[in-house]
Amino acid sequence: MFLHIILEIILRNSFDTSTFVLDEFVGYAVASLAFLALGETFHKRALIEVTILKDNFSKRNRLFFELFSNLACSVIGSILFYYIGRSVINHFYRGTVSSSVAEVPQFIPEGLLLIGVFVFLLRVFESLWINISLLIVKEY
Amino acid sequence: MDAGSASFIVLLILIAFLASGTTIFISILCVCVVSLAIFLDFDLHRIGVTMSRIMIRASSSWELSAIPLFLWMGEIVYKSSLIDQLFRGLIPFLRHLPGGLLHTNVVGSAMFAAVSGSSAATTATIGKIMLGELDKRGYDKRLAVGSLAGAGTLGLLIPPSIIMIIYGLLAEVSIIKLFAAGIFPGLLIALLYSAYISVCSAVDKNLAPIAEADGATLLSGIWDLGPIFALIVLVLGTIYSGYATPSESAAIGVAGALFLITIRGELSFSLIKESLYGAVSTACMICTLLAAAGFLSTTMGFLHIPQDVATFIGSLDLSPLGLIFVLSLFYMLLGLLLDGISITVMTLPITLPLILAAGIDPLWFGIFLVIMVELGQMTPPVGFNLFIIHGMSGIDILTIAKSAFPFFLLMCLAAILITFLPNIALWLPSELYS
Amino acid sequence: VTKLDMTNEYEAHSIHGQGDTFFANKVKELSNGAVEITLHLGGSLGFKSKDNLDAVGDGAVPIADTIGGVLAGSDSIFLLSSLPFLAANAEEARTLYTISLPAYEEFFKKNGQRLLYASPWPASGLWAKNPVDTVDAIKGLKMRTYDANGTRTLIEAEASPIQLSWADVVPQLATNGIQGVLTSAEGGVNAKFWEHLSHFTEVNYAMPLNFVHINGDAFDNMSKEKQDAILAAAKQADERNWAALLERVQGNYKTLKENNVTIVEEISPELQAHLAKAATKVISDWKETAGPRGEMIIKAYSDKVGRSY
Ligand code: NA
Ligand code: NA
Repeated sequence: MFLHIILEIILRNSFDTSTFVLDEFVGYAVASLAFLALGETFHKRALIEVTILKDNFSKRNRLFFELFSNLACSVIGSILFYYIGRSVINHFYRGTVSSSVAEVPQFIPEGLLLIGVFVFLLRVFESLWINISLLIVKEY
Repeated sequence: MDAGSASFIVLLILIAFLASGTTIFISILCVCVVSLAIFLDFDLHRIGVTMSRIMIRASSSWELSAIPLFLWMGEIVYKSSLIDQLFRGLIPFLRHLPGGLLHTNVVGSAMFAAVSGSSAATTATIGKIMLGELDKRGYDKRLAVGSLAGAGTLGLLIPPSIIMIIYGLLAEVSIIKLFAAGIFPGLLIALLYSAYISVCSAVDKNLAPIAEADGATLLSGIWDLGPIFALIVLVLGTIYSGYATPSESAAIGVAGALFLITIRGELSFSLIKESLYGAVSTACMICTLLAAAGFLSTTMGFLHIPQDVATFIGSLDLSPLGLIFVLSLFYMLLGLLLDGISITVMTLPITLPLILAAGIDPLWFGIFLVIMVELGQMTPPVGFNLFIIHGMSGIDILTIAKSAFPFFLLMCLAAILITFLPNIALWLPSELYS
Repeated sequence: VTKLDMTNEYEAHSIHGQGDTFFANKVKELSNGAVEITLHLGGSLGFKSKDNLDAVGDGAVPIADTIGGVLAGSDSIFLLSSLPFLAANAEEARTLYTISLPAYEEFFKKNGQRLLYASPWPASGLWAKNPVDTVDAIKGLKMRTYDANGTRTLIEAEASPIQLSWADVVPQLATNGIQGVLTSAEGGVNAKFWEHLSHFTEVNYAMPLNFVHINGDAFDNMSKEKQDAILAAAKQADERNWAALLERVQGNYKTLKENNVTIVEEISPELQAHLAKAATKVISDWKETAGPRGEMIIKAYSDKVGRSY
């Protein structure tokens, strides 16, 4: 994906012309990058969070903070999944394409985002599952 | 419900979500959902379609491509031997100054700032190399950590700068002029920091031992600094000669960094893979945060808060100087909690019309806003630089914040200087592009 | 009181910013304050023109002002108003609009919406550092275009079109990354092009339309009085915007002259023929994609203006 961005930009710089759709394609690439990496970034805990308050609690009570956080992620993730999914389906059946000369079917870039949200949801559910199990087996 | 109490409640909900330890971008989205539901009676359908549409739009932005690309370039420089060579080159120049290698935090950050667009990348890169090195050589931890927290933010002020690109787009100010305007204020802050380190070290000799030259001379120093200088000249040169747009300059930087490590024989699959991995996860964090901030400004728009707050501050009928004072307090308060990009995206629809109405140059305000945002990077509870340094050094956040406080004050001093001597910022762009 | 949010991408002082402000005020006046429209200018709600169709259809925002070109991906009819050299002046542009109005109305109805009014942009021309009045002057000229029609036409005319985001246009001009811009005098005034360019060559390239559309349910759920007030305001806004066009262009030209921009009104017959040839190709390609409906509209328009396309 990065190579694609570079390629697009180098193309435009090396030849005295344009791909005509550079901004459109780089836009797709950046959005796909952000969404597709979301699950993995969440899993590696590289999405920033404020830990000051929960650091003051016992390991057991900290799990409740984790559970709350996971639930918030599930709710938001599910809303995004449903409505982006709805948009992808609409674009697919109506045959919406982009208005540039490239005429990219819109269900493709939005579909990539949908996959990203789906992977994010899976990672969130996994974390939820682990935290609940830890609470049940009292292994904090 | 009036704008004041509505925004206060929004703020309280945000603090509650943030304090719960929920991922920040999810916290912001939750606040939006709750606010739209309770204040405006939006049903789930309307919230859902609005949120998904705005998240897609805000993340599909061509201008955002600069973020992952600059991060990638920084990762390449950091994960190769380029960074060691950079600091080998700096030692012979700095060892005779009081404070010695402590200045590398400042000079290194200022230089890296010239090739990196973000403060996080600058702080992380300089910190990873320097903190261990300085500790090993017996330098004072507080000065080391504090100066890094302060100087790392120069990544935003010294061009290229992601936040200036975003400000330029929102405020319809020339990005190139903004870049030029940031240079002297950035150097001024670096100078203030170096002066402070020198004075502290001269007063208390225990803070900074004299650095070992390890056989490095001024000549070898110049040689060692060569590659990074070449990279800076390449990135800046392509922008200012019109070969690349500011949005594209990051890609040129990546190409330049890849070229450098290729001719040095360091190009390997694992380097590419690791640098990409690091860049992608940070970029994901920043881009999702930006998209969430986009939905927050949409929410504020539906709540009509920008209009109402603007009317309120406008109704205060402040003098331009009074307005600047009120706004700097406002931004410092926001900076306690929010990162620079969110602050800019959220508040500019409110503050820009005020600034324009007061007859304040939006180019100058861009520089002022960047400095305000830099201040927010080093204040708890949410300060990106504090988090990054905490992650690298393990020192607790409040200690880091205390160490950074003198540098926070020095940056406030710089903001005051620029307010009363606006030509520190405006002289260069007017010389270059009048 | 019914409160409706309205989004557009334009600044308050631009032609569409002013037109929509007029509409919002008129609605309030004609409904005796029973309907209030909050206008969010400059894309401050976060929606871009290309989001508006879905945003209004889904009810995320009830009213939007959308430039036609971005809807071309849903229906090729929206490339009609920006077809090159089809309408030579405001009067012909309005004729074309009147003929195609049923097609536009049907499209919005199909998408659960209602078309309120459409307003024109002043005619696009060629912004550059020199007069673009000969074939040699346009050949190889690196120019920024605003839609697919522009890109296709300039490729046919052997220029070198580039599609850039609007934000990159001024930095690129400042550094000679591009040599010209295809847009109206209005666009050049809004972005202070005189800092970088010195000539506006008036070729009357096209007068693209902006469409103001409202969510169908939001409209249907209002009382008859409110609906009538909105429709009456829309009718007045429509009239006003077409009438304001001439005055607007004169104002723009005055601003350009004050800033020492040369307005080139005459182009060589060779260039005229060269551009006409490029346009013919783009128009005939469009007729092919638009099918019988497009064919009929072009036919009716040709009969009306007495030229054939
Ligand atoms: Na920088
Ligand atoms: Na802060």
